[in-house]
Amino acid sequence: MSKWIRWSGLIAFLLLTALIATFYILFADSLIKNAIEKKGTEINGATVDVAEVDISLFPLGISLSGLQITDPDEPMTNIVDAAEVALHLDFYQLLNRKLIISDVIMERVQTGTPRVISGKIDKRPVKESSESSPSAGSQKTNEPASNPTKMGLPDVNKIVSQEQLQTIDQIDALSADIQAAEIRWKSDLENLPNSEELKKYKDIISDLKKVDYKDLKNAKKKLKELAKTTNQLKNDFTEIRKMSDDFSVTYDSFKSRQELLRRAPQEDLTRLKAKYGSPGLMTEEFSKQILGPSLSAKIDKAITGYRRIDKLLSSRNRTKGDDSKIDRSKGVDIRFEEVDPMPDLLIQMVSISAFTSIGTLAGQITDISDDQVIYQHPIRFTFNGDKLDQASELNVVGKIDRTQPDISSDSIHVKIEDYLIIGLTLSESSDMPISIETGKADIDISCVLEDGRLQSEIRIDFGSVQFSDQGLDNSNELNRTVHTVLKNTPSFQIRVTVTGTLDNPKTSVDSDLDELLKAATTKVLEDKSKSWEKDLESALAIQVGTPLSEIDDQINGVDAIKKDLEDRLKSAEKLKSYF
Amino acid sequence: MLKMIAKLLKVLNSETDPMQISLALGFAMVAGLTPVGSLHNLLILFLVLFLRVNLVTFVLGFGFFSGIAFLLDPVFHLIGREILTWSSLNGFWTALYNTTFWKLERGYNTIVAGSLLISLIFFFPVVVFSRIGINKYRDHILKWVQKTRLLKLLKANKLYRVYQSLSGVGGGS
Repeated sequence: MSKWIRWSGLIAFLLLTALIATFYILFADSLIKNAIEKKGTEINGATVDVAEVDISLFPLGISLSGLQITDPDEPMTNIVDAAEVALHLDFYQLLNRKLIISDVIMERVQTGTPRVISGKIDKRPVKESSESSPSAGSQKTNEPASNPTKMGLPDVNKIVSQEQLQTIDQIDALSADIQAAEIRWKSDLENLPNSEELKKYKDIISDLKKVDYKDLKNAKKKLKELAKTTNQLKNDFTEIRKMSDDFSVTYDSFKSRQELLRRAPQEDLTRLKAKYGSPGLMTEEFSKQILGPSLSAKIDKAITGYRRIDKLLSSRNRTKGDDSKIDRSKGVDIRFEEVDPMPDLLIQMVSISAFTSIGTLAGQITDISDDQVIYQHPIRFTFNGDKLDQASELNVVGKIDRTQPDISSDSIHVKIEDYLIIGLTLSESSDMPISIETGKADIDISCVLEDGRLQSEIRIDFGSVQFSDQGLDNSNELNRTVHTVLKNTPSFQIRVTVTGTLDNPKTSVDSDLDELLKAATTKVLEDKSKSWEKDLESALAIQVGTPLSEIDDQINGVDAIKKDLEDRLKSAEKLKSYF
Repeated sequence: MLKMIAKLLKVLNSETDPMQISLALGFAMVAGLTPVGSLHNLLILFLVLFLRVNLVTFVLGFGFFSGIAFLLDPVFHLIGREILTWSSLNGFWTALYNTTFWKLERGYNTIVAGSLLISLIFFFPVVVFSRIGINKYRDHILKWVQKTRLLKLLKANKLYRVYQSLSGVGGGS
C-alpha cells in the first residue's frame, strides 16, 4: 500500500493550497477592487472607481472608500460619490454562489460631483446637457418654433420667405400659361397674312377683275386665278377669325386670373394671420408656455434615470438561461428549482447618508435583488430630512415592484415643505426670461408607473416669491406687463400632470397665474398682434409686389398680339365683299 | 517540444509502474478536459500529489488535454445541455443543485457537466488501455528497438541528446 502513498505529496498539496489561500487573502483587496470596478463599469456603461478596498473575514465584510460612479450621459460628473461604503456578506450563501448582502452603509454620499478624468468608456454620443437635448418623448411637449402659442410673434420676413404663398403659386402658373400661349400665338400669326398683305389682296383681286373677254383664253385664266385668290382670302379670313375667337377666350381667362391675383395676397394674409398670430391663442396656457421647455427637460432627465434602473433590473433577468449567446469557454448555467429560493444578488438593506443641495438626507433602500419574481419583495426606498438647510422637511417614499413576471408597478412620492428658493429660473426663453430671486415652495410629487402607463402629478405652492428683473427687455411691453403681474403675485400654484407612456409622455400645466396673466396681457397682445399684422401685410406686399407687376407686363405683352390680331381681322373683314 | 517528447520517452522507458503512468494520464484527462477552476480539480490535484502517480505524465497530459478541451468546448456544451435538461434526470439534478458542493462545483453549467461526464466515462478506458499500451511498448517495441541498429542512429540524433540530458531527472514515481 505504501507503494501507492506519497506522504511528501500530501505535504506538497497542503502547502500548495495554503499558498493559493494566502495569495487570495493577501491580494483579496486588489482582486475585489478590480472586480467591482470592472463589473460596475460594465453594468453602469461608464467608469466606476474605488479608491480603496478593505476586507474583514469575521464577520465577512467589505469596506470601500472613495466609490465614484460616473454618469454615463455626463462623463465628467459622478452620479454617485460615496466617501465610505461598508457591507456585510453572507458567507454560506457565497459558497452557494449567491451574493447576499445583509446591509450596506453608505456615508457622505453626494451626487453630481465633478470628475477629474472623464468616465467615458465607449464611443456612444454624450448628451451635452439634459436641458439642451430632450428625448423624443419630451420633445412632444415642447412647442414648435412657429407655433401660435409661442410667447413672441414670429418674424414676418421669415414667414413670408419660408411659407408657400398661394399668390406666388398662382402667379407662377399664370406666367407659365401666358408664356406658352404667347409662343403659340406668335407662331400662328406668322402663318397668317398681316394687314399689309391683306391690303394687297384688294389690288390683286381688282387687277384680276379687269377681264378682257375678247381674249377668252386669257379671261379664263384670270377668272381661274380670281377664284383661287378669293378662296385663299376666304381661308385666311376664316383662320384669322378662328384665331381671334380662340385668342379672346384664352385672353379673357388670363384677365380673370389676373383679377383673382389681386385678391390672392389678402387670402395669404388671412391664412398666415390665422396660422401664426391669433391673439386668442397667445393668452391661453400661459404657464405652459413659460414652464414647458424647462419642465420637459426635467421630465426627460427623470425618465432617463428611470430607464437606467429599469435596464439594470431587466438585463440581469434576461441573461438567465439565455442560450442565444454562448461563450465557448463558459457555457450556460441551467437553473433548477431551489428548496429555499434566493436571487443571485440580494441587498437586504442600504442605509444612506447623503449631502444634497437641500441639506443632509438619511435614507434606506431595502430588498434590492436581481430577481424579484424569486424573492417576491419589491425594492422600497425612503429618504427623510428634518431641519434642512433649504427646507423644513423632505420625505421621499417609493417602490420598484417586479414581483409579478412581465408586470411592473413602480411609484415615487416626494414631499418637500418650505423649500427655500434662491435664483430659480422658470423660463430660459430669450423672449420671456422669468426667474425667481427668492421665495418658498411646498412641493408634492406623486408618480405611478404601472405596465408602462404613467400617471403623475406635481403640485407646487409658491409663497413669498420675489421675481427677478434680470434679463428683462424693458422695450418689450409684453415682458414688462408679465413682470408687473408676477411682481404683484407673491403666491401662486402650479400643477403639472404627466400621463401617457415613457416613450410618449403627455404633459399638461395649470396655474392660477394663467388667469391673472391672461387678463393683464390681452390688451398688450392685441396691440402687438395688430402691429404684427400690419408688418406681415407689408412684408407680403413686398414679397408678391414684383411678381405681380411682372404678370401685368406679361399681360401687356399679350395686348400687343391682341391689337395685331384685331388689325388683321379688321383688314380681312373689309375684304369680305370679295368672297 | 523535443524536451517534452524526450521526457515522455524517458518515462515510458523507465522502470516506473505502468499503472502510475496510466493513472496520471487518466487524472490529466479529467483535469485537462474540465474547466481548471472546478472544485473536483482540487480533488484531482490532491490525488495526483498524494498517490504515487507519475507527475511528468500528469503535467504533459494536462497540457495536451487542455488543448483538446478548447476544441471540444462546443461539444461539451451540447452534451451538458442535453443531460442537464433530460426530464427523467430532473429530480436528480434538482437534488444536486440544492447542495453547496454542487454549487461550488458549478455542475449545473453545461460545459462543466458535459466535460466532466465525458472525462469520467473515458477515465477507466484511458487508464486500462494506456496501461496495456505501456506494457506492450516495453515488452515489444522497446526491446526490439534496443536490439536494432536504429538505436545507434537515434543516439546520434539531437532527440537522444536531449533524452540523455534529462537522465538525471527523476521518473516522478
